[in-house]
Amino acid sequence: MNETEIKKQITDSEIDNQNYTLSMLRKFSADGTISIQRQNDIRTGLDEAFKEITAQYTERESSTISAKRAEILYSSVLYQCDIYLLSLKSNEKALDALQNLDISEILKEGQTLILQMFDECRLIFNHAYKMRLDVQMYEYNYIMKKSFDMFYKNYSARFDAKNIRTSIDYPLIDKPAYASSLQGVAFIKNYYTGIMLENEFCGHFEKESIIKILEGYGKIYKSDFRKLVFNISEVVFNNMLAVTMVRKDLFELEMTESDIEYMYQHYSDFSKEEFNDEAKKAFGLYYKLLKNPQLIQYFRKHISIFSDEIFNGIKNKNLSNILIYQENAGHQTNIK
Amino acid sequence: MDFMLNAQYDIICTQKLKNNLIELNKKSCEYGLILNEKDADMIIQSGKDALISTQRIEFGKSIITEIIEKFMKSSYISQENYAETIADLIDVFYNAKEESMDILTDSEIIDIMFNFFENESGGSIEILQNRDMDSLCKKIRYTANNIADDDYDSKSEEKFNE
Repeated sequence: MNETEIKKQITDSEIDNQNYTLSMLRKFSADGTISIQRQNDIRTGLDEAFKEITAQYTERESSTISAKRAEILYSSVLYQCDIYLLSLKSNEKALDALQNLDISEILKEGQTLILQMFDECRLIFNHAYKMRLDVQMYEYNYIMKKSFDMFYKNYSARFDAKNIRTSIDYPLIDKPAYASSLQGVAFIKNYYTGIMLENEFCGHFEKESIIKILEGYGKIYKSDFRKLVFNISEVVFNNMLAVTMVRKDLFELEMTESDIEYMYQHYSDFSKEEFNDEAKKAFGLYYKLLKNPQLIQYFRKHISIFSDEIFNGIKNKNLSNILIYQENAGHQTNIK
Repeated sequence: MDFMLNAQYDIICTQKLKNNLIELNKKSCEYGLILNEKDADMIIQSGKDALISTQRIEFGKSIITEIIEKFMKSSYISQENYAETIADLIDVFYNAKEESMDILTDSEIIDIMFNFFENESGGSIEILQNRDMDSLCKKIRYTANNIADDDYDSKSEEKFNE
């Protein structure tokens, strides 16, 4: 099978990133791309790695292990392969590695990457922690003050690589924690990178402005925001971009009822695509000021969701459920 | 080919093990104990059944030879009950591994079983299993769970200041 044929055969939806190695092996063994001999070699290599890791786990003082524990240990072996193969960032390259590299080499590279990621996690977290927000929101404070330390203390890349051994409920922008396809140390690295960028973004605003917005958000849900579970930077970003689209100053969060009315009037005839373009242009004004390309890229992904939400809010006349604003004097408000 | 956890690890490498068991006759004959091929097959099958029933996977050298080497010296085992007793002891062993939460090593369990068998249970497998080993494993679980609970309580006591 030539490379073109292989490329046609590999589609992202066919490969399960959470069980990458197994998924690749299953697909390309079934269709004969990986030869029988090679399959046997891989099988033997995985078995040997499992035997060794199990012997280490039992300190070489047991000849058997519970089936449940065996599954966890074996999944740790596969995780090492997953990490290396995923680092190649290409299904074609991963297949090439499976066909040509010794499985022990794949495992060794995976172990090295895992250790590297573990160290990187600490640096990323330290950076995120320095920029943490001073908001008394339970879930946010939990991930800043407890979750990472529990992970760092308890994580076992060798014996239980997929289990982060901590609790994380605070969502990233556009994504609840549980929705990540990543596992183990890769999840933690990705998650706290997101937190770091979100903290950096929110650092562009005064604490009092953020608190005001969060309190307004809590009012929408008739609750104390401190007890809710939502992404702070998303609420901040939504208001910021909406304010910009009403042609106000940059890094402004406060909207008025008049601003909301302006949105209804000005954008009601826009198509979804036109509105999305306007949202992108508005965010484009921030590029030079935000400076960090990684941060810009991170929040740029949110624009289409922001755009859909606000567009629908304009059509349905319910922006008051999405944006935080101060109503004109004499009216009910969702801001104090 | 299936690349899931290899089922081979719950199947004892049969022929090699059988040869090893027969080889042990050179030692066990000093105690008047001999296993024939049929006995060896029965013992190996008991080992497989015990692994399946306790949901355990074997990854190292089979424990059967260690059990035989230890218990061939027992004053309660004769040629008449040799093979059957070994098969029963394998069952007791794997149950103890599981019930003691893998806290005890293989050698520790075999030593404990032998001491109980010789000094407490009068050579009765039933008493060994249902009284002596059960009681020990309960104590081990209780202690382990109490230690785990103490750890949990001390962590829960930490006030998380919002």
